[in-house]
Amino acid sequence: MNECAAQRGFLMFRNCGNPATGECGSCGRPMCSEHLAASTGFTTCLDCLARKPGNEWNKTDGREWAYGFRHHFYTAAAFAPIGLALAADQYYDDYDVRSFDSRRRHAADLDEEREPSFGDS
Amino acid sequence: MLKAWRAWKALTEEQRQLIAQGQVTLSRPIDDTIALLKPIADMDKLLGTGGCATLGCTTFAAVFLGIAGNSAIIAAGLPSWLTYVWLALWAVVFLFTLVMYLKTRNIDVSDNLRNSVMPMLYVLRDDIDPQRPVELTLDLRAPMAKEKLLRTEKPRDRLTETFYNDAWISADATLVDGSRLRWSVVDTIRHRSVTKKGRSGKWKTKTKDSKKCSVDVELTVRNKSYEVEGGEAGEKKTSLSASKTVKLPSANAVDPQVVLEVITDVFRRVQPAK
Repeated sequence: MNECAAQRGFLMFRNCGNPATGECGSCGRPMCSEHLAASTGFTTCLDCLARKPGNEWNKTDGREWAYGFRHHFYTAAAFAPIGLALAADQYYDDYDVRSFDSRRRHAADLDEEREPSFGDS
Repeated sequence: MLKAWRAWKALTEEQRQLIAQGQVTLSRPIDDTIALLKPIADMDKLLGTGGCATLGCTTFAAVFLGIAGNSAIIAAGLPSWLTYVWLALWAVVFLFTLVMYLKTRNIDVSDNLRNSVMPMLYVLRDDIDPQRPVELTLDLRAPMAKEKLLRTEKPRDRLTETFYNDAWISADATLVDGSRLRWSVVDTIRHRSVTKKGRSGKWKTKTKDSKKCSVDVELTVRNKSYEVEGGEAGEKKTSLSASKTVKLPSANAVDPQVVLEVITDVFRRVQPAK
Protein backbone atom coordinates (compact mmCIF):
# COMPACT_ATOMS: atom_id res chain seq x y z
CA MET A 1 0.00 0.00 0.00
CA ASN A 2 1.22 3.53 -0.79
CA GLU A 3 2.27 5.84 1.97
CA CYS A 4 0.77 9.30 2.42
CA ALA A 5 2.94 11.76 0.48
CA ALA A 6 2.28 14.71 2.78
CA GLN A 7 5.04 16.32 4.78
CA ARG A 8 4.04 17.14 8.33
CA GLY A 9 5.53 19.74 10.63
CA PHE A 10 6.08 23.48 10.74
CA LEU A 11 9.59 23.86 12.16
CA MET A 12 10.70 20.47 10.86
CA PHE A 13 9.52 18.67 7.76
CA ARG A 14 9.09 14.90 7.89
CA ASN A 15 7.18 12.20 6.07
CA CYS A 16 3.66 11.60 7.30
CA GLY A 17 4.17 7.83 7.44
CA ASN A 18 0.49 6.90 7.50
CA PRO A 19 -0.87 4.53 4.86
CA ALA A 20 -2.71 6.38 2.07
CA THR A 21 -6.48 6.05 2.01
CA GLY A 22 -7.13 8.09 -1.12
CA GLU A 23 -5.56 10.58 -3.45
CA CYS A 24 -5.74 14.31 -3.88
CA GLY A 25 -7.98 15.35 -6.74
CA SER A 26 -5.74 18.33 -7.41
CA CYS A 27 -2.14 17.03 -7.28
CA GLY A 28 -2.86 13.30 -7.52
CA ARG A 29 -0.57 12.39 -4.63
CA PRO A 30 -1.59 9.53 -2.33
CA MET A 31 -2.95 10.87 0.96
CA CYS A 32 -4.11 9.60 4.32
CA SER A 33 -7.43 10.76 5.75
CA GLU A 34 -5.61 13.11 8.12
CA HIS A 35 -4.14 15.07 5.20
CA LEU A 36 -7.28 15.33 3.10
CA ALA A 37 -9.37 18.42 3.85
CA ALA A 38 -12.72 17.62 5.41
CA SER A 39 -14.15 20.90 4.10
CA THR A 40 -13.65 19.68 0.51
CA GLY A 41 -15.28 16.32 1.22
CA PHE A 42 -11.83 14.63 1.51
CA THR A 43 -11.10 15.25 -2.19
CA THR A 44 -8.25 17.78 -1.88
CA CYS A 45 -5.12 17.55 0.25
CA LEU A 46 -4.38 20.18 2.89
CA ASP A 47 -1.32 21.39 0.95
CA CYS A 48 -3.30 22.00 -2.26
CA LEU A 49 -6.05 23.69 -0.28
CA ALA A 50 -3.45 25.96 1.35
CA ARG A 51 -1.97 26.88 -2.08
CA LYS A 52 -5.30 27.55 -3.74
CA PRO A 53 -5.52 31.24 -4.72
CA GLY A 54 -8.09 33.11 -2.67
CA ASN A 55 -8.30 30.33 -0.12
CA GLU A 56 -9.69 31.77 3.08
CA TRP A 57 -7.48 29.61 5.28
CA ASN A 58 -7.68 32.11 8.13
CA LYS A 59 -11.43 31.61 8.46
CA THR A 60 -11.14 27.91 9.24
CA ASP A 61 -9.67 26.30 12.31
CA GLY A 62 -7.73 23.21 13.26
CA ARG A 63 -5.54 21.34 10.82
CA GLU A 64 -6.74 23.20 7.71
CA TRP A 65 -5.88 26.49 9.37
CA ALA A 66 -2.44 25.19 10.39
CA TYR A 67 -1.54 24.11 6.83
CA GLY A 68 -2.84 27.39 5.40
CA PHE A 69 -0.80 29.31 7.95
CA ARG A 70 2.28 27.20 7.20
CA HIS A 71 2.15 27.95 3.48
CA HIS A 72 1.45 31.63 4.08
CA PHE A 73 4.27 31.89 6.63
CA TYR A 74 6.87 30.10 4.47
CA THR A 75 6.16 32.35 1.51
CA ALA A 76 5.77 35.62 3.43
CA ALA A 77 8.43 35.25 6.13
CA ALA A 78 10.88 33.22 4.01
CA PHE A 79 11.37 30.67 6.74
CA ALA A 80 13.17 27.47 5.76
CA PRO A 81 12.11 24.50 7.89
CA ILE A 82 14.57 21.76 8.82
CA GLY A 83 14.07 18.66 6.70
CA LEU A 84 13.95 15.39 8.57
CA ALA A 85 12.30 13.56 5.65
CA LEU A 86 14.17 10.63 4.12
CA ALA A 87 12.83 11.17 0.61
CA ALA A 88 12.61 14.54 -1.10
CA ASP A 89 9.33 15.42 -2.78
CA GLN A 90 9.32 17.84 -5.71
CA TYR A 91 5.91 19.07 -4.63
CA TYR A 92 7.63 21.03 -1.85
CA ASP A 93 10.31 22.60 -4.06
CA ASP A 94 8.72 26.02 -3.48
CA TYR A 95 9.81 25.79 0.13
CA ASP A 96 13.43 26.25 1.02
CA VAL A 97 14.01 23.22 3.27
CA ARG A 98 17.30 23.00 5.14
CA SER A 99 18.31 19.38 4.93
CA PHE A 100 20.89 17.23 6.63
CA ASP A 101 23.70 16.04 4.37
CA SER A 102 23.17 12.43 5.24
CA ARG A 103 19.54 12.19 6.20
CA ARG A 104 19.59 8.47 6.75
CA ARG A 105 22.54 8.79 9.11
CA HIS A 106 20.72 11.50 11.03
CA ALA A 107 17.60 9.37 11.32
CA ALA A 108 19.74 6.51 12.58
CA ASP A 109 21.33 8.88 15.12
CA LEU A 110 17.91 9.88 16.37
CA ASP A 111 16.89 6.25 16.75
CA GLU A 112 20.07 5.54 18.65
CA GLU A 113 19.55 8.46 21.02
CA ARG A 114 15.89 7.83 21.66
CA GLU A 115 15.15 6.63 25.15
CA PRO A 116 14.22 2.93 25.34
CA SER A 117 10.51 2.28 25.71
CA PHE A 118 8.49 -0.75 26.83
CA GLY A 119 8.04 -1.78 23.19
CA ASP A 120 11.81 -2.11 22.62
CA SER A 121 13.39 -5.51 23.12
CA MET B 1 -27.24 31.32 22.95
CA LEU B 2 -28.72 27.85 22.68
CA LYS B 3 -25.59 26.63 20.91
CA ALA B 4 -23.41 28.07 23.67
CA TRP B 5 -25.60 26.43 26.28
CA ARG B 6 -25.33 23.07 24.50
CA ALA B 7 -21.55 23.48 24.22
CA TRP B 8 -21.37 24.19 27.96
CA LYS B 9 -23.49 21.14 28.78
CA ALA B 10 -21.26 19.01 26.51
CA LEU B 11 -18.11 19.87 28.48
CA THR B 12 -16.69 17.22 30.80
CA GLU B 13 -16.38 17.81 34.53
CA GLU B 14 -12.60 18.31 34.08
CA GLN B 15 -13.12 20.98 31.42
CA ARG B 16 -15.62 22.83 33.60
CA GLN B 17 -13.14 22.71 36.48
CA LEU B 18 -10.42 24.21 34.26
CA ILE B 19 -12.73 27.12 33.44
CA ALA B 20 -13.64 27.58 37.11
CA GLN B 21 -10.00 27.48 38.25
CA GLY B 22 -8.76 29.86 35.55
CA GLN B 23 -5.13 28.95 36.13
CA VAL B 24 -4.33 25.67 34.46
CA THR B 25 -1.26 23.45 34.53
CA LEU B 26 -1.35 20.51 32.15
CA SER B 27 1.15 17.78 31.48
CA ARG B 28 -0.04 15.48 28.75
CA PRO B 29 0.75 14.62 25.12
CA ILE B 30 -0.01 17.30 22.54
CA ASP B 31 -2.99 15.49 20.99
CA ASP B 32 -4.60 14.99 24.42
CA THR B 33 -3.96 18.64 25.29
CA ILE B 34 -5.67 19.82 22.10
CA ALA B 35 -8.56 17.40 22.65
CA LEU B 36 -9.03 18.78 26.17
CA LEU B 37 -8.84 22.48 25.30
CA LYS B 38 -10.67 22.55 21.95
CA PRO B 39 -14.23 22.16 23.34
CA ILE B 40 -13.52 25.02 25.81
CA ALA B 41 -12.30 27.25 22.97
CA ASP B 42 -15.30 26.32 20.82
CA MET B 43 -17.68 27.11 23.65
CA ASP B 44 -15.94 30.44 24.27
CA LYS B 45 -16.35 31.30 20.58
CA LEU B 46 -20.09 30.66 20.82
CA LEU B 47 -20.34 32.64 24.04
CA GLY B 48 -18.39 35.49 22.45
CA THR B 49 -20.92 35.76 19.65
CA GLY B 50 -23.89 35.50 22.01
CA GLY B 51 -23.55 38.04 24.77
CA CYS B 52 -25.67 40.97 25.83
CA ALA B 53 -26.63 41.77 22.22
CA THR B 54 -28.14 38.32 21.86
CA LEU B 55 -30.01 38.74 25.13
CA GLY B 56 -31.41 42.05 23.89
CA CYS B 57 -32.48 40.53 20.57
CA THR B 58 -33.98 37.49 22.31
CA THR B 59 -35.93 39.68 24.75
CA PHE B 60 -37.19 41.85 21.90
CA ALA B 61 -38.17 38.80 19.83
CA ALA B 62 -39.91 37.20 22.85
CA VAL B 63 -41.95 40.34 23.64
CA PHE B 64 -42.81 40.83 19.96
CA LEU B 65 -43.88 37.18 19.56
CA GLY B 66 -45.92 37.32 22.77
CA ILE B 67 -47.88 40.41 21.68
CA ALA B 68 -48.18 39.32 18.02
CA GLY B 69 -49.41 35.83 18.94
CA ASN B 70 -51.94 37.23 21.38
CA SER B 71 -53.22 39.79 18.83
CA ALA B 72 -53.50 37.07 16.17
CA ILE B 73 -55.60 34.90 18.49
CA ILE B 74 -57.95 37.81 19.25
CA ALA B 75 -58.15 38.90 15.59
CA ALA B 76 -58.92 35.37 14.40
CA GLY B 77 -61.75 35.14 16.93
CA LEU B 78 -60.29 32.02 18.54
CA PRO B 79 -61.46 31.00 22.04
CA SER B 80 -60.00 33.07 24.88
CA TRP B 81 -58.44 30.06 26.66
CA LEU B 82 -56.00 29.84 23.73
CA THR B 83 -54.62 33.20 24.85
CA TYR B 84 -53.74 31.71 28.25
CA VAL B 85 -52.13 28.67 26.63
CA TRP B 86 -50.16 30.94 24.32
CA LEU B 87 -49.01 33.17 27.20
CA ALA B 88 -48.06 30.14 29.32
CA LEU B 89 -45.96 28.73 26.47
CA TRP B 90 -44.41 32.11 25.88
CA ALA B 91 -43.52 32.46 29.59
CA VAL B 92 -41.89 29.00 29.66
CA VAL B 93 -39.72 29.77 26.61
CA PHE B 94 -38.80 33.22 27.95
CA LEU B 95 -37.85 31.87 31.39
CA PHE B 96 -35.79 29.08 29.82
CA THR B 97 -33.86 31.64 27.72
CA LEU B 98 -33.34 33.84 30.76
CA VAL B 99 -32.00 30.93 32.84
CA MET B 100 -29.63 29.98 30.00
CA TYR B 101 -28.33 33.53 29.84
CA LEU B 102 -27.88 33.81 33.61
CA LYS B 103 -26.04 30.48 33.75
CA THR B 104 -23.66 31.30 30.91
CA ARG B 105 -23.02 35.02 31.46
CA ASN B 106 -20.43 34.43 34.19
CA ILE B 107 -18.43 31.99 32.09
CA ASP B 108 -15.56 34.10 30.91
CA VAL B 109 -12.60 32.45 29.28
CA SER B 110 -9.78 34.63 28.01
CA ASP B 111 -9.89 35.16 24.23
CA ASN B 112 -6.22 34.21 24.21
CA LEU B 113 -7.25 30.55 24.36
CA ARG B 114 -9.15 30.44 21.09
CA ASN B 115 -7.30 33.20 19.25
CA SER B 116 -3.72 32.46 20.25
CA VAL B 117 -3.18 29.24 22.23
CA MET B 118 -5.18 26.87 20.02
CA PRO B 119 -3.74 28.17 16.71
CA MET B 120 -0.22 27.91 18.16
CA LEU B 121 -0.81 24.33 19.31
CA TYR B 122 -2.28 23.39 15.91
CA VAL B 123 0.74 24.78 14.06
CA LEU B 124 3.33 23.18 16.36
CA ARG B 125 1.40 19.93 16.83
CA ASP B 126 3.38 17.90 14.27
CA ASP B 127 6.73 19.20 15.53
CA ILE B 128 6.10 18.08 19.10
CA ASP B 129 6.91 14.51 20.09
CA PRO B 130 3.47 12.89 20.37
CA GLN B 131 4.65 10.41 23.01
CA ARG B 132 6.03 12.92 25.50
CA PRO B 133 3.97 15.28 27.64
CA VAL B 134 3.85 19.00 26.95
CA GLU B 135 4.10 21.06 30.13
CA LEU B 136 1.57 23.80 29.59
CA THR B 137 0.61 26.54 32.02
CA LEU B 138 -2.31 28.70 30.96
CA ASP B 139 -4.16 31.56 32.55
CA LEU B 140 -7.70 31.40 31.22
CA ARG B 141 -8.99 34.30 33.31
CA ALA B 142 -9.92 37.53 31.56
CA PRO B 143 -6.82 39.68 30.79
CA MET B 144 -8.12 42.51 32.99
CA ALA B 145 -9.32 40.35 35.87
CA LYS B 146 -8.83 42.01 39.27
CA GLU B 147 -6.32 39.30 40.27
CA LYS B 148 -4.05 40.52 37.48
CA LEU B 149 -4.05 44.14 38.58
CA LEU B 150 -0.50 45.47 38.80
CA ARG B 151 -0.92 49.10 39.81
CA THR B 152 -3.07 52.18 39.30
CA GLU B 153 -1.62 55.58 38.44
CA LYS B 154 -3.09 59.08 38.15
CA PRO B 155 -0.69 61.02 35.91
CA ARG B 156 -2.96 64.06 35.96
CA ASP B 157 -6.40 65.13 37.09
CA ARG B 158 -9.25 63.03 35.62
CA LEU B 159 -6.86 60.57 34.01
CA THR B 160 -6.48 57.11 35.50
CA GLU B 161 -4.16 54.45 34.17
CA THR B 162 -4.57 50.90 35.38
CA PHE B 163 -1.95 48.30 34.58
CA TYR B 164 -2.49 44.55 34.44
CA ASN B 165 0.03 41.75 34.15
CA ASP B 166 -1.22 38.75 32.21
CA ALA B 167 1.16 35.78 31.95
CA TRP B 168 -1.19 33.73 29.83
CA ILE B 169 1.02 30.96 28.49
CA SER B 170 4.13 29.11 29.41
CA ALA B 171 5.00 25.90 27.58
CA ASP B 172 7.77 23.33 27.59
CA ALA B 173 7.80 20.69 24.85
CA THR B 174 10.12 18.04 23.46
CA LEU B 175 10.24 18.11 19.67
CA VAL B 176 10.34 15.12 17.33
CA ASP B 177 14.12 15.44 16.84
CA GLY B 178 14.75 15.47 20.59
CA SER B 179 15.22 19.26 20.88
CA ARG B 180 13.51 21.07 23.72
CA LEU B 181 11.41 24.15 23.07
CA ARG B 182 10.20 26.47 25.82
CA TRP B 183 8.20 29.59 25.28
CA SER B 184 6.21 32.01 27.38
CA VAL B 185 4.18 35.15 26.75
CA VAL B 186 3.42 37.92 29.23
CA ASP B 187 1.12 40.83 28.39
CA THR B 188 1.25 44.14 30.23
CA ILE B 189 -2.04 45.89 29.61
CA ARG B 190 -2.65 49.60 30.16
CA HIS B 191 -6.26 50.64 30.63
CA ARG B 192 -6.55 54.40 30.35
CA SER B 193 -9.67 56.21 31.49
CA VAL B 194 -10.11 59.95 30.79
CA THR B 195 -13.05 62.05 31.97
CA LYS B 196 -13.77 65.20 29.94
CA LYS B 197 -16.40 67.90 29.91
CA GLY B 198 -17.97 68.17 26.47
CA ARG B 199 -19.21 71.32 24.69
CA SER B 200 -22.75 70.66 25.85
CA GLY B 201 -21.53 70.62 29.43
CA LYS B 202 -21.90 66.87 29.84
CA TRP B 203 -19.14 64.85 31.48
CA LYS B 204 -17.92 61.96 29.35
CA THR B 205 -15.55 59.15 30.20
CA LYS B 206 -13.49 57.60 27.43
CA THR B 207 -11.36 54.48 27.80
CA LYS B 208 -8.49 53.21 25.72
CA ASP B 209 -6.47 50.02 26.07
CA SER B 210 -3.02 49.18 24.83
CA LYS B 211 -0.57 46.45 25.67
CA LYS B 212 2.99 45.27 25.51
CA CYS B 213 3.40 41.64 24.65
CA SER B 214 6.69 40.04 25.74
CA VAL B 215 7.60 36.73 24.15
CA ASP B 216 10.49 34.60 25.45
CA VAL B 217 11.69 31.51 23.65
CA GLU B 218 14.41 29.03 24.53
CA LEU B 219 15.55 26.17 22.33
CA THR B 220 17.95 23.43 23.37
CA VAL B 221 19.39 21.32 20.54
CA ARG B 222 21.84 18.42 20.34
CA ASN B 223 25.33 19.41 19.19
CA LYS B 224 25.49 16.15 17.27
CA SER B 225 22.54 17.14 15.10
CA TYR B 226 22.91 20.90 14.73
CA GLU B 227 25.48 23.60 14.17
CA VAL B 228 24.52 26.62 16.24
CA GLU B 229 25.15 30.31 15.74
CA GLY B 230 25.97 31.74 19.18
CA GLY B 231 24.10 30.34 22.16
CA GLU B 232 25.26 28.70 25.35
CA ALA B 233 27.22 25.65 24.28
CA GLY B 234 27.30 22.66 26.60
CA GLU B 235 29.08 19.34 26.17
CA LYS B 236 26.23 17.65 24.37
CA LYS B 237 23.60 20.34 23.94
CA THR B 238 23.40 24.03 23.13
CA SER B 239 20.72 26.44 24.28
CA LEU B 240 19.58 29.46 22.33
CA SER B 241 17.13 32.07 23.41
CA ALA B 242 15.24 34.97 21.88
CA SER B 243 12.94 37.63 23.25
CA LYS B 244 10.71 40.14 21.59
CA THR B 245 8.37 42.82 22.88
CA VAL B 246 5.56 44.02 20.68
CA LYS B 247 3.34 47.03 21.35
CA LEU B 248 -0.29 46.56 20.40
CA PRO B 249 -2.94 49.30 20.16
CA SER B 250 -5.67 47.31 21.92
CA ALA B 251 -6.06 44.67 24.61
CA ASN B 252 -7.21 42.08 22.04
CA ALA B 253 -5.64 38.64 21.89
CA VAL B 254 -2.17 38.47 20.37
CA ASP B 255 -1.87 37.19 16.81
CA PRO B 256 -0.21 33.75 17.08
CA GLN B 257 2.11 34.82 14.27
CA VAL B 258 3.87 37.18 16.70
CA VAL B 259 4.85 34.25 18.94
CA LEU B 260 5.60 31.87 16.06
CA GLU B 261 7.91 34.47 14.48
CA VAL B 262 10.06 34.52 17.64
CA ILE B 263 10.15 30.71 17.68
CA THR B 264 11.20 30.58 14.01
CA ASP B 265 13.82 33.30 14.64
CA VAL B 266 15.54 30.91 17.04
CA PHE B 267 15.28 28.10 14.51
CA ARG B 268 16.94 30.26 11.85
CA ARG B 269 20.07 30.22 14.04
CA VAL B 270 20.49 26.45 13.93
CA GLN B 271 21.69 24.55 10.88
CA PRO B 272 21.58 20.81 10.33
CA ALA B 273 25.00 19.29 11.09
CA LYS B 274 27.08 18.51 8.00
